[in-house]
Amino acid sequence: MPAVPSQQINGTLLHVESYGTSTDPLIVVIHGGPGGDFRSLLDARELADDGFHVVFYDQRGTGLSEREHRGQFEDKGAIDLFIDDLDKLITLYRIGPDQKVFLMGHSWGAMLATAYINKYPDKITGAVLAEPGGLTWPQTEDYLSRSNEVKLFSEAINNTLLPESMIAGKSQHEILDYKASFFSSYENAPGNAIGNEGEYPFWRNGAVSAEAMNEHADRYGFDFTTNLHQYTTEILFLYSEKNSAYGRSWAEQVSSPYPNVNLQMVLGSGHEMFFFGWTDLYPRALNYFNQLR
Amino acid sequence: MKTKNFLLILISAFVHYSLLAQEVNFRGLDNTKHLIGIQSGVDYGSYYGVSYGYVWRNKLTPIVIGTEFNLPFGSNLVDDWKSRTSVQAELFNYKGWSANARLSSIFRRYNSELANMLNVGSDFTLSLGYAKPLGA
Repeated sequence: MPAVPSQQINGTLLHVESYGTSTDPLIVVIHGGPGGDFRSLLDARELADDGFHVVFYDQRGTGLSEREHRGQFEDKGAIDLFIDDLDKLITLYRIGPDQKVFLMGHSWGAMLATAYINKYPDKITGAVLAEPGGLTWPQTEDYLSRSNEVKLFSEAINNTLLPESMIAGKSQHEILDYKASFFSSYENAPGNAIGNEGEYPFWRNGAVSAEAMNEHADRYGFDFTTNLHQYTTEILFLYSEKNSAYGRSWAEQVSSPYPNVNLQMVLGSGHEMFFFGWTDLYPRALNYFNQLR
Repeated sequence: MKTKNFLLILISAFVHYSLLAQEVNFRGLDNTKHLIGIQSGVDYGSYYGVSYGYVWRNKLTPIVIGTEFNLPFGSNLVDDWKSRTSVQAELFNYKGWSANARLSSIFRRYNSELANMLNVGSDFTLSLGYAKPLGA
């Protein structure tokens, strides 16, 4: 069995895949979650054929990356740990100071990209941000309350919760990750608010990182907007046509801390627009990257 | 961020408040031989179902041999279900207080786009209750 392509970064082993020529402008693709992985974003490999070096990575403790102890995610500085991982990944793949660096984030990945830009506004050439739930914790809670409304008598609840009654084990990563995969049944069930057509591919959930990071946000909160006024480069901010919990007005509100926003709607897709809406997303992203390369 | 935390709260609520169907009041059996019931509750989701129990009378104590079949609410009627076959008896009674024991075998089916699962299990339940006839 071939080894999982990986890199030792910031004290952990991350699953990393890169496509294209290392001297081309760098695009780091950041997946959602927390606790997701980049499998559903892989169509973005196409950008390598357009002259970009495209790097995907599974974040700390999720996907095919090394599992970490829960305490890492409970610490007050947990979000900084994710930012540091991204910074060290960029350092590893950037071959020189003249090479341009772009971020392309989806959902939580777009939030993390913003957190990075907020901390290092001078390091990033441009960013494509696809439906970050919010850029502050209260804003994110607001979005979550609309995007995942719980329907007690729904098939979605059965698909999500019944495996809990059948699968034993409460502490092993393998079991927790498998059980966490059923949670995606809820957000992808027929009639879901976020407009997903169905299930989308993934490798392996990171149950501990997902749960602990949600608890972390609930306990400490976050605000990724405090320094965004310094980032005057245009960002491409994407929202999807079928996500009824998002829409243009929410996109305008979430993106408003950025001084220079190019707001566009991805047609024919819901929240998982990299998988279900790539044909419409791709030319928008490519046009943006080409303008700034 | 996704809303897994909300659903985890739901899980714990459903686990801790799951209900047991077909609790038998042995004081009120009289000469009844057949027990038929319908039930609804929450047990890793909301469900409804039917139950049947046969009362086997012997020299020692009445024993209820029962079966129940539960379906979760939802749009797909029989993709998930749970059946239980049980033997239940009263261990002792004193002035309206009654202790019951129940041994059950459980068979479950789960189906979604992600997985099909069949599950066999068992459980043993001890329950203590107080039953007082109306007007007594």
